[in-house]
Amino acid sequence: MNPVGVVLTHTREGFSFVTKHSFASGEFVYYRLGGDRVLARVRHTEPLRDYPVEFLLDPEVDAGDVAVFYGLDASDYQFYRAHARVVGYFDRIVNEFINPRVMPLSGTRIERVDDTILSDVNRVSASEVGSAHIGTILGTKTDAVLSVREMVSQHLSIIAATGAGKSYTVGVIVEELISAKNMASVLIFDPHGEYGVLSDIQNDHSFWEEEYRPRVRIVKPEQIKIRVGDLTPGDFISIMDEGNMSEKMKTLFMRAYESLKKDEKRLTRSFTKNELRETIEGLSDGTNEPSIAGLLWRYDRMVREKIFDDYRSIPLREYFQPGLLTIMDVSGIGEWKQQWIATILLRQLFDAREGTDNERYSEERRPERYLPHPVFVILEEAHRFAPQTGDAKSRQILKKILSEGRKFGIGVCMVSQRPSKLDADALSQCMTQVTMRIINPSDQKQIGESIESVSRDLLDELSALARGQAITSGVAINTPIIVEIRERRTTQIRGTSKDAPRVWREQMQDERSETIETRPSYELDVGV
Amino acid sequence: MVDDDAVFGEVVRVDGVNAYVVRAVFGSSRESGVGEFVGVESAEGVVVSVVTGVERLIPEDVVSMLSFEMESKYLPYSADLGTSYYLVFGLGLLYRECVRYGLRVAPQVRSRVWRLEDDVIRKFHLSFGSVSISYFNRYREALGDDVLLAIVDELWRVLPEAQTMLVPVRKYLRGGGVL
Repeated sequence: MNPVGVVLTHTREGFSFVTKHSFASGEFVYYRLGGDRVLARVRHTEPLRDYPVEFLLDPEVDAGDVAVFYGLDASDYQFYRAHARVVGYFDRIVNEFINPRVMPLSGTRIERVDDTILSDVNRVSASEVGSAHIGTILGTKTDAVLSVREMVSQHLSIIAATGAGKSYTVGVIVEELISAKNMASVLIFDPHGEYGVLSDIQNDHSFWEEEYRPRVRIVKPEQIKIRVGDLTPGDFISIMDEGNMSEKMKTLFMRAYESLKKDEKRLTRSFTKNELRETIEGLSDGTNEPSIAGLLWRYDRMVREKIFDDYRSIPLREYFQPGLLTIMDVSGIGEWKQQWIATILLRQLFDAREGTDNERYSEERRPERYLPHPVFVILEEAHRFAPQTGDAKSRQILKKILSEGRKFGIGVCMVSQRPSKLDADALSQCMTQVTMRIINPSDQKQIGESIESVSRDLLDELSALARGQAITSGVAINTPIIVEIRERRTTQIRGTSKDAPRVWREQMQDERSETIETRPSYELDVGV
Repeated sequence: MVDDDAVFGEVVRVDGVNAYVVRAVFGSSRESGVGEFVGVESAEGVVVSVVTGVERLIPEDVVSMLSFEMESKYLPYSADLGTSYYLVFGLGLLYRECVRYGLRVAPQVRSRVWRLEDDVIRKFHLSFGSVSISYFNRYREALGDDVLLAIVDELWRVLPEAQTMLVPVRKYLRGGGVL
């Protein structure tokens, strides 16, 4: 028994206890109820007693010394009143925390949790298959472990302000997913080209186990292609139309597309850019030349973009394999093109997994669409692909995957620094949440509305979280916890802030060394 | 032990372990004020006390109206209308170079009472290794803030090294002293 406090009183919301220990918000304690040990989370603390304000007015004079001088017991001022919320006792039959709905009475001893009790917050242990050891529970050495099964099947959100450790945390989770205990099939959609350093994984022996060697594939921007045959007529029109495309042009395009698709049914391959162009030209009947010309001008402008290709597309089976991390580096590609790449990728992925599960695709029939294993897609800057307001082609398919992907084994991790700009429905579909420091009030509000599993008092901690600390909640863990994210095994991701003063100085010194120094003429002794 | 010249009165009534009435010696050279430290002779040592009030006039006609029990209580006042009667409160004991805050035994009636020298007052407040007025908290209710403020004034002079800590205490008492 290791009592650290005694219950003072309780309310409907929780109880308060007197302690000398300075608990941080989010730390755990427990009390005994019958044979059960009931876990409780400290919400906040306040001093049990304050010194008289007059004792505090002169910073040169120690208030404790004045108190002793006056006859007060200074140790009485060392106590806290800690407010705690009951989590419950862990029931090993139902494998979850049960709230006893009985609050502890005044005088009940409060004890510090040990590793055996705290480990109940994890659904899985750190070493077992299907686990992701992301760090330690705040203020303890107890591992914080997510259930990969739940996290991958019911989606994950990683939300953090810039500099709070978002990319770092993604890296930690990827390390866990790609390790031998999971051998996951993961793709990172990387708008800033910052995850390339994760290629260290394949050469890092700590990831190797027996025959297992994780692989990392980095897809460079120039390698990413969208096959025109994979676009729907709506996609074409959406890309071509800048607000001045007439209805007649749209109708003509639809006719050309449908006509080519009918032909394509007789073909074993999808159509090319030229085939579609020729089909549009073929619609000319002497009365519609201006519309055909306008349509062709827009079509040509679109297909001139190097990203659109006749044959090459997103090779799903090359990108998604167990034990393979694919990093799609889309940096340097315009935002609307990134949205199109994401749209095509997710659309094809959904089709492949749905078709494979429903036995439409197999090794023999459409093998390029046959994807017989679950996949996990990490979307950095997710607010670009499912924005709360404004248009984004990818939003529809992303929301479809978030709501239906579970059935077909498609997990999505949405990473964002601006949750208020992220579609609220999409965010609420992520049933595991890793939420780091967020200062912006509208972002905090969005999180509060989208994440039901986290209590208000824990969310109040969002702005106070230190770098590398995260509120972790949802289905992959038994109760929300604050986690100190563990150290990465691989190199630091480039997303860290630049040391601008150092870079400036280095640059300046480099330039000086390359410059021939001259002095003003009046300083020169020309010896005349 | 005590110079007869320094004696300014004697205990004429004991109202409890801490509270006494002292009749001043007729023709005492100086008036004593509230907050002044006095010593009271006792079997254990010197009871370090503080003056908390003074009474000078008890009309005789009032005495005649009192009940027998009450008359005995007020009798000392009626004996000599020209005499000052001081209310004194015992804070602690000074004995054999030792100091004890708080009292368990009251002094006897007729015990001599004298003004304490500054060095004795210092000794009483410095005996625990550092300067202390811890009896303030203990007897605050009994003494009242005005008396405590008067003691602060007295200590300001006698214990200059304690002034930095007397400042917040004084402010605290003036502000009503809410803990």
